[in-house]
This record gives sequence, C-alpha cells and structure tokens, in this order.
Amino acid sequence: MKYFFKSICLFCLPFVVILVPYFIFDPFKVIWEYKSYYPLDGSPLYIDNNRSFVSAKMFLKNKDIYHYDSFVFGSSCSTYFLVEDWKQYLPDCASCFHFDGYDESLAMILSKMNFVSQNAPLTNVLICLEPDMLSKDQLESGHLWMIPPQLCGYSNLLDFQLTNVETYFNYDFLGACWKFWFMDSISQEMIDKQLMNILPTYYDIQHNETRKRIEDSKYPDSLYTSTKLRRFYHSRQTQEISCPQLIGESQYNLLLQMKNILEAKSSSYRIVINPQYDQQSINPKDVKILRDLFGKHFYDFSGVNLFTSDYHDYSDPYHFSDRVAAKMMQIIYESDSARQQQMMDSIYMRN
Amino acid sequence: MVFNSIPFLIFFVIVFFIYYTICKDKKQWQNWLLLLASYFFLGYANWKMLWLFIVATVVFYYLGIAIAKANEKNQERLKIVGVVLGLGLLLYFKYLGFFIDSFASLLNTIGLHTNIHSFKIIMPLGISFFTFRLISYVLEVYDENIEPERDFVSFATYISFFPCILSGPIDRPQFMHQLKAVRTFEYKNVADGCRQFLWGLFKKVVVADNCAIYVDAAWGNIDGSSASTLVMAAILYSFELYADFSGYSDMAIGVGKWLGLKITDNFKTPFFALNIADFWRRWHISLTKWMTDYVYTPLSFVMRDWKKWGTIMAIIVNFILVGFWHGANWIYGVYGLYHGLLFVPLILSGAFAQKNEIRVNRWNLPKWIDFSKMLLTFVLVTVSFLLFRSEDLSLFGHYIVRMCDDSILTIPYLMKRQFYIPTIIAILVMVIVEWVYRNDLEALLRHSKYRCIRWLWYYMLIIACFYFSAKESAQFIYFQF
Repeated sequence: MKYFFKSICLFCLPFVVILVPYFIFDPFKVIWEYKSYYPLDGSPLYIDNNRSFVSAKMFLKNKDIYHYDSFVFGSSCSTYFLVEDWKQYLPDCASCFHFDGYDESLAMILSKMNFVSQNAPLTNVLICLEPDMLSKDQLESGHLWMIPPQLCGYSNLLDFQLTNVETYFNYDFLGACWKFWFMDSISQEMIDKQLMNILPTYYDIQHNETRKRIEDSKYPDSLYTSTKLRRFYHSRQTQEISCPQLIGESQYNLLLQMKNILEAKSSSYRIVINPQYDQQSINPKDVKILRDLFGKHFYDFSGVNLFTSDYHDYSDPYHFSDRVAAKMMQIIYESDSARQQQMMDSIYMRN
Repeated sequence: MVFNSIPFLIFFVIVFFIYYTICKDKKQWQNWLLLLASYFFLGYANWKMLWLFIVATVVFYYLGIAIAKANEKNQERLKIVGVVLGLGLLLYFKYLGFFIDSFASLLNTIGLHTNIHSFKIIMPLGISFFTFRLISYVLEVYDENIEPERDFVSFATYISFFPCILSGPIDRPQFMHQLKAVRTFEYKNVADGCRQFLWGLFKKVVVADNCAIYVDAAWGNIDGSSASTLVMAAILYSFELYADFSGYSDMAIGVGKWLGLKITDNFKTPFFALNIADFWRRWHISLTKWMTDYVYTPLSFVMRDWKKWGTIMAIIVNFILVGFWHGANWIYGVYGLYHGLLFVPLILSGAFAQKNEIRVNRWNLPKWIDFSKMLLTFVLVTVSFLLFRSEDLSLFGHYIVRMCDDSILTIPYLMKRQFYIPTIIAILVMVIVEWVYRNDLEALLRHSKYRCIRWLWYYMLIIACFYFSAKESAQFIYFQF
C-alpha cells in the first residue's frame, strides 16, 4: 500500500506543481482575504473575479465600520447609479453600498436582499433591472456568475472553489496566467481572446463602487470605431417593439418575495427598468404585474425615449452613462408627483 | 452521486482508507463498511426510498433460507412468491403508470372514454438492477446452485453493492463468495482498477458527452438538419450510447478492483461483432446472460418441440422483454422485437450458435469479409438505437425518412472545429485501443513495460478528460464592449 501511495503521489506531482501557483497567486481572489479586491491605484485588474463574491466579502468586512443601510442591487448597469448622485436623495446619515453583480438574475438579487437583511438595515434600496432580467429566475453558473458561498450559508463552498480551480485549468487561461505571473507579459492574443482585463480600474472601498463619473458625462467619439458602430449601433425600428412577456409564475414569486422583504424592513425603495439602446420596451403585461406588485415604487424607462436616442450615452447597447442614471434618479426621487409625471412625459416626448 | 464527481471522490477515498486500514484483516468489518457505504450511496440519491431497499433485502434474505428448508412443493411456491415479489416491485415502480396510460389510450381508441389518470410514482434509482439481483438470488437458491446466504450483511452488500447498483453490471449471487474472505490490498488489482477507471472516465466524459452535444442538436432540429447530418448523428449516437454505458461499467469494475472484488464484465468490444448474436454476447453481457439463463433457456425448453421456430419464438419473446426492461414505453418493445427478428436469419441458417472469431490479415486488421460483417452489424444496431432514442414510432419514422433525403450527399454540419476534431480523435482512439486490446481483459492492460510511456499515456487521457469534456466554454472577463 505504501508503494501504491508513493506512486500516486509521484503521478500527481505535475498536477500539484500546476496547482501551487494557483494557491500562491489566487488569480480569482477566492482563497485568501484582501483589504481590497481591486487595485486602488487605477491599474488594471487583469484577471476578473466574481463581482457578487467580492461585494459579499467587502460588505461583511466593512459593514461594522460604515454601518451600511442603503443598497443598490442589479447587474453591471446599476454601477452607473453613482453614490455621489444617489446620496442627494437620501438622508444625510445614509451609508451606501453597491451590491451589484455580473449578469444578475432575479434569483441572485433576492439572495442578496435576504443576506443583507440579516446583516444590516435595508433603509434605502434601489433595484435596477434590465428588461431581460425579468425572465431570469435561476442562479447562473460559471466562476464569474455563480452565487457566492456567503449568500447561501456556505453550502456551495466546495463547488464554488472547485469551479474556480476548474476555470484555472482551462488551457488558454492557464497559459495566459503563467505568462503573466512568471514573464510579466500580456500578449495581444490574450487580449483578443479576452483572457485578461486590461481596462483601468476605479474602486471606492467604502461604497464598493467600480464606476466614476465620465468626463462631460458623455462617451467620447473615439470610443465608437466603425466596427463597433456596425456591430452594436445598427439602425433601429421606427416603431417601438415590446418584448414578449417574461414574468411567469416563478419570476412572480421571486418578485413577491423581494417585495415582502422590502415591506418587512419598511424600506424606502425604487425599482427601475433600465433603458436599453435597442429601445425595446418591456411587455405591457409585465408592466401591469410590476405596477400591481410595487405600485408607485416601480419605474419603467424601457422603450423609445430621450435616454435611448443618442448612442453617446451608451458605451454598448446595455451600459448607459452616469448622466442617464442621474437623470433617472432625479425623476424617481421627485417628491411632487405632478412634476414627476411631467418629467416622464418629457423623457418620452409626450406632450 | 456519479463516479466522475467530487462528492464521489471524497466518499470513496474515505471508504478506501477505512477499508484497508481500520478494517484490515477483518472480513466482517469490511462487509459492514461496504454495506453502510452502499446505503449511504443509495440514500444520497434518494434517502426516502432507502427503506424499500432495506425491506426488500430483509424479505428476500429470509425467503432464500425458507426455500432451502422447505419441501419440494413449498420450494416451488416460495420461488414463485420471490419472483412475483421481485417483478412486482419492478412492475409497480417502473411500469404501472405506463400500463395505466396504455390501457386508457386503448379504451379511448375503441371509443370508450375514461377518466383514468396515471399517477406519478417516484421510481427508485437502480430498481431494475436491484430487483434482478433479488430474483436471481431466489432462482439460484431454488436450483441449488448456491446455498442460501446466512450472513445478512454479505447478502445485503451483494444486493446493494454501490458501484453496480445504479447502472450495473448485474452480478450473480456467486459474487457473495468473494465476501467470505478478507480482501487485502493488492497493488496489481488496485493499479488495474485505476487503469480501468481512467479508461471508463475517458469514454464517458470525452467520447460520450461530446457525441451527445451533436446528437442532441440534430434530434432537436430534425427538419432543419440535412440527411448527412442526421446520418452522422445516428452514428455518433451509437458511439455515445456505447461509450456512456461501457464507460460507466468500466468505472464500476475499476471501483470493484480497488476494493478487491471482481465485478462481472459488461461489454466486450461490441462494435466488432460479426452478427447480431455475436453483438449480444458482447453488449450488456450481464443482462444478456441473466435473460438467457432465466427467460430464454426456460422458454426454449418449453418450446423445444417447435424446433427452430421454438427457438425463434423464445428469442423474440426474450428480446421484447429485454426491450421493455430498458423503459416503460412501447418503443422499447419495438426495439426488442427488432433485435429478436434480426436473429431469425441466423437461426434458420444454423449460424446462431456458432462461435465467431475475427480473422485478421498480416497487419492485424480484420479481413474484408469480417469487416463487412462488422459494418453490417453496426448499421443494423445503429438503426435499433434510433428506436431507442426516439420517444415514439412516428418520430423514429420521421427521422428515417429525413435521413433518406437527397441532402445525404452534402457535407454534414460539423459544428465548431474545437468540438468535432477532438470528438473524432477521441472516437478513433477509443476504437483503435479497443481493437488492439480486444482479446485482453480490459483496455490499457500494461501495454508497455516502461513506466514513463504508460504514465505519459495516462496523463494524455487525464488531460483529454479535463480539456475535452463537454462543458460550456468559460468566459474570463465580464466583457465590456
């Protein structure tokens, strides 16, 4: 038996050698603890990590320092709702936290709300949804999207770690990692294959914010290459198109649970459907369901409107600018309902 | 808990360690450990049904002893009770809903509308294999081929032995003889087990799962696929089915070897069969032998006066039952009937019982005549697998008709290069290795005396399992356009 174990150990040695750098460098930052999971000096992140995991970690690390009570939930589009702009509509004592995630689903938002409500007051809540999120009633898989162990009582801790290890062993990614770690080099191929993230990073530890205000609040012309324009900003239908109905029984149950949490915590909340550049509006049946469920707390900015008319407000068909987000917040937090309606009519060019 | 999963790895490492250390030199402790591990394995899949396995095991344990003690008349009665109980379990959990639905459809067809609704019965995993072991035990005790097992732990371990309970092989009660001796750690057995497990894993995750992607895509879009694509999907489905099933069996046998226990073989390079009879001697061997001993042989004895026609009837009935064993659907019955009918020319020509040896040329390749027989057998079997894949006859018919389209001469849809090249290579590797080692006990059996060459081969298989297992391609950065 000793000989067998010696043989197994020898056989597994190459795999162990490959694994050692994984534990040393922790590419996805899921093993060790960090003061910040993003560079604070503006340098690129290089290897993307699970945003929901990072948010959960930073929340637990800093909740007793900053006493968070105001939360933004949603996908990456919600990051454009800057705390600096949001705070104008909140009490002075409000402490804000961005609890966004990549490619968020209703199931994940509900998990986060459950998690936060057990650890902090949910005094102010802003939920930012894209139209297609209304159909997402399942948790996503994949190392960038899967639910962090903190949000499900650590029941998936092993699975979470193994998913990251498995991702590390991807042939292309492994090669890129080793080249980056040991030769300090990033080739064009790594960038073309989207193995490494070389975009500069902005990070505010206190608010877990990864977005800062864009200069002039509009994206520069240099962003819109002809390839990009051709790929993303194709001509649109003149008539507004509405999506098929997305809210079914399971999605409704998730939304109902969200509402129950918000009401149980007496939260001041707003639920926003973000405007998408393709100008598709959510289905009227879905609008009715959401309005019946959330009443005056629900705001729909999908469809043809002033926000979606200029592509300079969009870095891609989904991600608008902070200017658009600020304008949306101005509307949804307008206390005078007549004025609010006037602003909505103006956005939708209704006279 | 599937073999290629982390929970199984953790589970088995614990069992293996305790088996050869704490339970070392203690046969009864080892058997207890295997029994508890088996029940844990079953409970992990569905703990609510564990009681069924335990109760059935207890009943048949006492039934076996009662049969041995009873007089001839009562032995016959107790044997019938055992067979009826075993079949009853199978019929209730697997077929009751099917019978009710079929009866209701029949009544509706003749104009008698009913309100009969089938109810959903949760089928315990492994029920088909479990009940066959129970029935086999009762019949072997009745025939006095074995003594009734007095040690409940050994009996229960045989019935619910975890490597085989979900997908076989179906071991006979003689398996229990192995539990009467202490199992000591033997390097050769464990190393062989590792090799066999690795080979099974390669077949399952690289060959079977990748073929499934193509096959599922074609079946999901029959009308939109060209005839050549559908033919390719049909061929790949045969490889998928074989690689999946035999891969799992190899892993089960490998696990058995790790525990010092020999599990019966289940596959013997079936795609090198020269005719349908040869095929069934190589495909799902444990089921074929079980059905031959307990269904075909008694039936052919009863029908012996009909000579060849008696044999034909026995074979057809046998295979219809084999078909239905696979699932509660008429299509499986047709599948079985199809295979039974394929035996008819062999029986009438007298070639049925002939031993088939593959003749090879000087390059160790099959001679043309034998190669053409293999090809014909493969085609016939592939058609039967289409029945297996179809939910009903109309879908099968539709698939066949679409396969005979004039787009048969077009190039089939090949999917992305990073899919089809590894898949085709994996299939070729599987076929070549199984051809080279067709006369050995299992593939990869000590093919080189140099450790570095053997290990290089194993590393390649492991890397293939890792990199070419069918999974969604990973995304590494949350892409911002």
